[in-house]
Amino acid sequence: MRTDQQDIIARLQAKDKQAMSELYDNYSGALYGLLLRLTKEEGMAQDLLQETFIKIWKYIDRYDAAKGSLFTWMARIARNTALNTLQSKSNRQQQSLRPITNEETDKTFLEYTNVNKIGLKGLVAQLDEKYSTVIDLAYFQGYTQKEIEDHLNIPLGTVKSRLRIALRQLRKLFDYEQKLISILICLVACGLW
Amino acid sequence: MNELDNIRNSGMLEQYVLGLLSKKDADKVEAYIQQYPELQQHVREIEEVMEMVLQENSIQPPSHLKDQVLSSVDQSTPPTKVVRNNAFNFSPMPILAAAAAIGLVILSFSFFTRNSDLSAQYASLENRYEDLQAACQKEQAIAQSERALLMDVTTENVILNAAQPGNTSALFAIVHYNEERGEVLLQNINLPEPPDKKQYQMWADVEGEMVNMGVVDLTPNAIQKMTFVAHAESINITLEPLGGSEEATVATLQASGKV
Repeated sequence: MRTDQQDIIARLQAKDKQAMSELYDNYSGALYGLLLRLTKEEGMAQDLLQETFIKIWKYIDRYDAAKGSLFTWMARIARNTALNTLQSKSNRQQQSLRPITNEETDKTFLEYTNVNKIGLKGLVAQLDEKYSTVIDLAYFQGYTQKEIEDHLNIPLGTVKSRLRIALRQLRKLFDYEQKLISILICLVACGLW
Repeated sequence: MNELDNIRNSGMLEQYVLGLLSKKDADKVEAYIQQYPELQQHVREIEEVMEMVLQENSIQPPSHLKDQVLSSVDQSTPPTKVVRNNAFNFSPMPILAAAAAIGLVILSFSFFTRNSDLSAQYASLENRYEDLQAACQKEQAIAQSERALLMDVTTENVILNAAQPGNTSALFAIVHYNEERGEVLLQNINLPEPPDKKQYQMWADVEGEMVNMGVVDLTPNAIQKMTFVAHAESINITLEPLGGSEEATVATLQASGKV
C-alpha cells in the first residue's frame, strides 16, 4: 500500500483532526459528486456527506487495508449511507402520501428528485454508451441489477459482463493516460535543455 | 480455465469493489482474496480505476460544509485522545515533490549527457559513412570503366610472355589495349616478384622507340590502368630501378607481346 495512505490512516486512528481536514480536501469532491448523483438533491447530499465523514472518523479502526483501499471503503460508506436514507425516505413517502399501485413501487426512490440527472465526465464518458450506462445506473444512480435488467431490457448476465468490460476498458484508458503522462514528463525533461 | 481465472472473469471482483454485492457474496470474495493473494493486485487495479472515475466526476461541496464536518467530528470525539504534536507531524508530500524534482533534474541531465554522446557518435558515423560512400562510388566508377573496356570488341588483348631465353612460353601478363578509347589496362597474371630495389615498367614500342607507359605496382591477378600510348606495335615490360626510368633499359626486358 502507498505510504501516504498508511500515514493518513495512522493519523486518523490517532484522531488527528488535521488528517481529517486533509482527507476532506482530497476526497469530499469525489464523494459529493457521487452523493449528488445518487440523491439528486443538494440538501440531502450535503447532509449525507457530513454523515459519511463522521462515520469515517468514528469507524476508522474497522477499516481493513487487506480488504481494499481507504478510498474504496469511504466511497462504500457514502454510497450505503445514501442508499439506506433514500430507501427509508422512499418508503415513508410511499406509505404516507398516496395509495401505492404496483407499478409505482417498482419505480422506487429513483423518481425522487430536485436536481436533474448529472451526466458523467472524464474517461467513463469516453466509453461506448452501453458500457457507461451500466456504470451510471448501477453505481451512480443506485439501480439494483434487477432494475437495470428491466430498465435496459437485457438479461442479468449481460448486465454483469457489461460492468466487467466497462471497468476493463476504463483500466486500459487509464493505463494509456498514465503512459501519455510519463511520455510528456520525458518530453518536458528533454525540453529542459 | 482454473478457478482463479473463473473468479477474475466472473465480474464479481468488479461488483465487490463497487459495493454491488450482497453481504454473503462480498464475504465470499473476501475469502477468495485471502486464498489467492494474486487477486489483490486485480482488485487494486479496479479500485484505482473507480477512484479515478469518482475523482473525475467530483463536484465541490459548498465551502462552509468543511467547517461543519470538522466541528461535528470534534463533537463525536471524546476529548481524551491527544492530537499528535504538529512539530513531528510532517506530511511526506513536500519531500516527495522535492525528490521528484531532483529525480527530474537527474533524469534530464542524464538525457542531456547521453544525447551529447549520441550526437558526437552520430556525427562521427555520418563522416565515416560519407567517406565510405565516396570510396565506394570511386571504386564503382573504376570498375565500370574497366568492365566497359574489357567488354569492348575493339579492345585488343595482348598476351605478354616471358622474354628471357628458355622461358618464352611463360604467360606473365595480359594488356587490354584500345586505340579508339585511348585506354590501356594491364592485368598481372604471373609476373615474378621483382628483385630488391627494382620495379617493373611498361613501354610501348612505337616505330622502334620505347615510350613510357608507367611503372607497374601490382600483385598477381590485379588490374592496373596504364598511360595510353597510341600506335603501339608491341608492349614490353622491363626491370628498372625503383621509381622507374626515363628510358627503357632494353637489356632487362622481361616480357613482350605484339599488338
